[in-house]
Amino acid sequence: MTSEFKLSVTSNMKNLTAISDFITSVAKKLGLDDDQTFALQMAVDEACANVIEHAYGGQTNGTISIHCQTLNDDVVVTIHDHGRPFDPQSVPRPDITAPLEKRQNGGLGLYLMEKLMDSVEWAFDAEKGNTLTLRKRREESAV
Amino acid sequence: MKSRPSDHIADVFVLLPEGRLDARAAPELEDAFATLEAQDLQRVIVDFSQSSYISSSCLRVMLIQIRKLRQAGGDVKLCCLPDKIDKAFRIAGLDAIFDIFPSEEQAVQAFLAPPQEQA
Repeated sequence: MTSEFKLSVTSNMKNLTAISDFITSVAKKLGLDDDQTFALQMAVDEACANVIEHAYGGQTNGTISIHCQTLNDDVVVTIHDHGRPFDPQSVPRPDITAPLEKRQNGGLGLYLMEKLMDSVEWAFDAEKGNTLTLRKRREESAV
Repeated sequence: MKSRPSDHIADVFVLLPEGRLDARAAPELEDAFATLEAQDLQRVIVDFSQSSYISSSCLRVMLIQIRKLRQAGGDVKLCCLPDKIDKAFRIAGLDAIFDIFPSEEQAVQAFLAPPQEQA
């Protein structure tokens, strides 16, 4: 059986709490365990913070649409916005084993999303906007 | 954000962030460190007992601050991490950089101990 859940909010950092509450509620309905719920919450929070800060450049009147569904054994979350596209490959991921003096400050959000999810895919379309698809297998814990 | 001198040493200050430490909370965390820096306080404990979550924005603030304080001869030590926050530090590889303690008292004791090798 496929379950679907939707939330649409404006691009305001204040809404990160509502987004987190939404993901918690979805995770509960889908019977995800604590590790899977944590992974999904953090990945979605990082993704939405990026949309607000970078895609919409801090403008608070943009729209972020979040759609969660189950497909086979995957939980699939798509996050849609109409902000600026970006090249995910242009952001270097940090070497998390580097000592303090060599640790880069940026790129951690993307690193965490990719570490916590089984797949992370971006699609950019001039008319339709930007779509980020996060997938997490239900039977496996990432952390 | 609440802050206070530690119960044990006057020049070790304790920051007590509350609630969700997401991207919205990062400027407040940064300001709290700036306030301590303005008072030349270089030995800081962050007590996470009242926090429920930490995102990359606040982890970035922590990384910048520990680098700055260690370069100045100080340090940031962490205590009382709830599971979700402990997990975030571990996944980000920051558990190798920060000294993490179960209690404030143990974090204070670590400031009193002779210097160990640091990451």
